[in-house]
Amino acid sequence: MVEIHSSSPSAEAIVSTSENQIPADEPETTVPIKKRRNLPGMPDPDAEVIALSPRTLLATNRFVCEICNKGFQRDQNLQLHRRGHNLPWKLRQRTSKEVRKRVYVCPEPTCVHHDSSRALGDLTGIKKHFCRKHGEKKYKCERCSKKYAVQSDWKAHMKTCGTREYRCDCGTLFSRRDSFITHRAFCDALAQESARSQPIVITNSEGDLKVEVVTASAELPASSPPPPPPLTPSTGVLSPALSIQSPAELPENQTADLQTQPGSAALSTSVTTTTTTKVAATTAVASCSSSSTGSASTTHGVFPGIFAASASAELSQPSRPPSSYSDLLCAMARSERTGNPIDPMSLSLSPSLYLSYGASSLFPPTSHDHQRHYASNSQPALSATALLQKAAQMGATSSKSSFLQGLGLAMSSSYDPLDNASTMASRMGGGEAAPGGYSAFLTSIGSGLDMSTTSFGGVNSARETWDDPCERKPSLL
Amino acid sequence: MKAELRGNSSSISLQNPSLFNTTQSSISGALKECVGSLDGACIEKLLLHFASALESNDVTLAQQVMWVLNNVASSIGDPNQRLASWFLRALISRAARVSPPTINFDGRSALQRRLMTVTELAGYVDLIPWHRFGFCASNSIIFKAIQGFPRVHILDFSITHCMQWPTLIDALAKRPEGPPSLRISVPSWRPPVHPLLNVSSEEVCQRLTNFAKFKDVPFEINVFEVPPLSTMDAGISQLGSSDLYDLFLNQLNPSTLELRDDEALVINCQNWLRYMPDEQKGSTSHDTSCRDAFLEIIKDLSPCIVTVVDEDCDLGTLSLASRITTCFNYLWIPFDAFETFLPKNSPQRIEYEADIGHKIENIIGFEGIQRIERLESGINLSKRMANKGFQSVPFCEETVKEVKILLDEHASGWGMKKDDDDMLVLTWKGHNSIYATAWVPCSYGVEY
Repeated sequence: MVEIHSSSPSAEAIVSTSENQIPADEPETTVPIKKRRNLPGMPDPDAEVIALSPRTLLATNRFVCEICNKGFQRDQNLQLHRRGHNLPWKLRQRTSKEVRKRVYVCPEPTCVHHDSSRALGDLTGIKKHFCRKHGEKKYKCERCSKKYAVQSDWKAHMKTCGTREYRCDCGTLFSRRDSFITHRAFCDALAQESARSQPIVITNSEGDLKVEVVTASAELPASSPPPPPPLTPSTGVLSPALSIQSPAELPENQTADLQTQPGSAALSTSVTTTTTTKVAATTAVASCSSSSTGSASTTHGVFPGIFAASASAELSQPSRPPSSYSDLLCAMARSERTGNPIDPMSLSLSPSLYLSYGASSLFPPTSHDHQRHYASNSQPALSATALLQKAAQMGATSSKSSFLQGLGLAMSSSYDPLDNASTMASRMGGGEAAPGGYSAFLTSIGSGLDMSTTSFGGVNSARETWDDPCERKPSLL
Repeated sequence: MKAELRGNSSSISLQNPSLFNTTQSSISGALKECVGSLDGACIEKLLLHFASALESNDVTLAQQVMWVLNNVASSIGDPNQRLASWFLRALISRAARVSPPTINFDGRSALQRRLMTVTELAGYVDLIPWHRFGFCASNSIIFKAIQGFPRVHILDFSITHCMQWPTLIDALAKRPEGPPSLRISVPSWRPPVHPLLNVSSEEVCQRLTNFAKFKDVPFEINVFEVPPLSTMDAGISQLGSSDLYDLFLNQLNPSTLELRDDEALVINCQNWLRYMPDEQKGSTSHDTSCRDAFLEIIKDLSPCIVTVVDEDCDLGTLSLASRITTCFNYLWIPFDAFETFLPKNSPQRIEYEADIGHKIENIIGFEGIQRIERLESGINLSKRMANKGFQSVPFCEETVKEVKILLDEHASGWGMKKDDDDMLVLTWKGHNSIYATAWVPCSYGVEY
């Protein structure tokens, strides 16, 4: 429910439209929107959601005294100032008590924080966010050329840039001490060091706290082949307590054999966490049965797992054999193979149905289709409901569903799930020859998902990535 | 027309490979024009539709939603698209799992489990304050609590493989009065969740020992056995049985843990309690859940401080439909955080998001004992602790300051709030993400 409250208490929006110093020819959209959302995750469901225009948001003097027109950045400052005017008691009160927490949305429509469920609770915060994400970066750090849109960010960065650097033996540089410490504790460089039992050389770097350039090396590089690159001659990074100790003591510690140190590592059989999981051959789906279900609209049809679970806390056994899902796929595949006509509606490429392009990208567009596709109109934002309606129109649920085709099951003209799976398996170099197009479906999800060149679940694209060197091993392997 | 279509449709893959080269961005770009801004609200509504489809057994609607999600989701799009892609995967995975539910969540999924090196893990926990916040708050509280004790024993229940301890060791080494003798015990079993390491816990312990030695802190670390879990493949099989948890709980006794009288006992639960099952095991009101049993046991060990850090969200006992939306409204936070400083195509980012994708898959794809991610919010956890006979320990100014300094070093979206002195909450753009609390058994005599 959206209401426009012109009498909203302490509505800075109203104040700024009527009395601000911004030239009046600029139209302001300063409408406070009130929405109630009780969905989990919303920081404060009762908060008032305020949407301000970019100009109003960034106006340095959003709060203006009605008496002398002096501008202030903060409401509190304005109120303090107003007291100085010796107002009669009635007018001295603010127009009303502010009882409601305010949250603000980002004026930029494409921003995730434009949505009221992602509103930010702090006015300064939303200002900074807006500048940071959508503004021009006017401030630049001299040392490292980092750019900032918000001055306070820039200043904060300038304080730390280059002043504090921690360098590990392995060459990695850290600007934060805790990350440096954690890294160092587990770094290979330290492990090698301890094994070498060399004396620790400490040079003074503790005195000057402001500028600390420390390295983790506690070893003279000359004494042994040091771990890779840039090592400065060792400076101690050790705590003051340690630096007090004389170097003579330390070699003793160092030479003490780790193994003999009492109880240092009373380790039992270790548990390896190195599990490489096999891909889900979890489906109990039998190879594609010959029955064709045609329609997917039966309750026991496509997603027994999903629905059964929601009915009660446990998954109940689907009363149909698990092959129902694969039935659907097979039916689809078969219809594909025999060239069943796809629902003509789903191929409609009228400019208004950009969704159809998404679906029909898997159908070969004829040339006129292409042209129609590119004759684009800008469309108003579609709600989730409208999207679903389109989905229905696209025939997402028919047996010749483009949805499932869209999930990559439309493989080739001679689509045969068994064939395909074994083809894929052999392509994978001997992965499990999982039966049924259903596993092909799963495989495509498993391997195809994270490749930037693939669309989600698209088997064909997945196949391309299997052939390509890829960042992650396909999960069948 | 029909004949033409038929002919063409047979050559989808062969003659038009370019279709599949279409990058995700152009398809979703096309959709984007159609749908306007792909905002979280839209996707959330789609998920709500899906949830209601589940509740009303509406297969048609469910399929439609998945179809739409399929078209808007993208693992390299904006955070909403990315999150949507992981949700869709989890839903499909659930749909695909048509076998009876006795399949254990043993980590087998279509997603490959990613293993990190220790160094990578060290970097991972410091990328965003998601873990570091808890480490910092807990370490600070522990540091204070053990003052005056010459020997300290920490029982470490966490999923981050001892990443918390180097900074504590470092702080103890710098104490004016010198460090205490420090002993850490970790169980040999941990939930099969990310982050996963490519080395053994023995190796991790070894390195930590080296480090402590380097810092001159008397140090011991033990991995206490939870048989027969540790002998199984990574100890993650047969999670379907609640016996497993009983076995685990059985190990938590003074003799197995080798508790010593002269030691101050610290119990650290970092992202752990949510993996303790919360279902009532028996039918009578006296039967407690594993989580409650765990808390009772640790209370009886007389710790001088118990730190509990976990994710601030209630996902334990909700219906599937509520879980989907709650999960979506919570896990957008890390996705959004990654967006602020990792580029869209960053493989690192995709990996981190995949880790969260695993979590989503478990939350949405499983029921009963296999749904190991049973998040509980700080508020509810606090009630539980109070019920079990713990009293909370307030965070002092110094700790709060330390945490603030930590957060200042991260992106400015991260903030913190203090709930009544007793709970610190990490926030991202105002939204609760992680809570940190500290407790002592009510009978404990030390005043704070």
